[in-house]
Amino acid sequence: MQLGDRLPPLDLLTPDGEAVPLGDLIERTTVVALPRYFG
Amino acid sequence: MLLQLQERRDELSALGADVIGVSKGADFQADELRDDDGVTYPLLVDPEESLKGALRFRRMRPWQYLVPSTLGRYVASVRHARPGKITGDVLALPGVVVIDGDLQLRYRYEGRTLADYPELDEVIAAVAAI
Repeated sequence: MQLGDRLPPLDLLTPDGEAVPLGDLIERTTVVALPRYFG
Repeated sequence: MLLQLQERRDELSALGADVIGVSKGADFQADELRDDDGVTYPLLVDPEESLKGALRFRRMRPWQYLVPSTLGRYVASVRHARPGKITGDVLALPGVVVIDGDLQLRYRYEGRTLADYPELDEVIAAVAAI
């Protein structure tokens, strides 16, 4: 994926297991940290 | 990186940016980060690593664990890790991206080895440039 490309629709899960569409999470500019694990 | 982002969250907020964390990691680890380490931004679980897949993040090769710099990072991470079972994806590479409100990718840093993150100042500069 190149800079400027738009992400496709996808769902992530809250720690409680609730599915949340990425588009609902990101309403404005968002820094997304992508660690290997939450350690 | 997760704790650094928490420390500078106000600075990012002043620039009009939010912060989230996404990992294949287990839900209980997200709870521990929130409860024990004071991380207040959303932490989301991505069991299928669909976001990294969409971003075309690569996976680490198993032999990379034998590279001294990677091995050193692994030992350091184990020292700081909470006791418990192994979670997440042992071959996943970390990273940071910035996505705008139209879901367009505006900044991308893909780690080349374990715990390889960009300087946070670089991320903040990318946000400020949007």
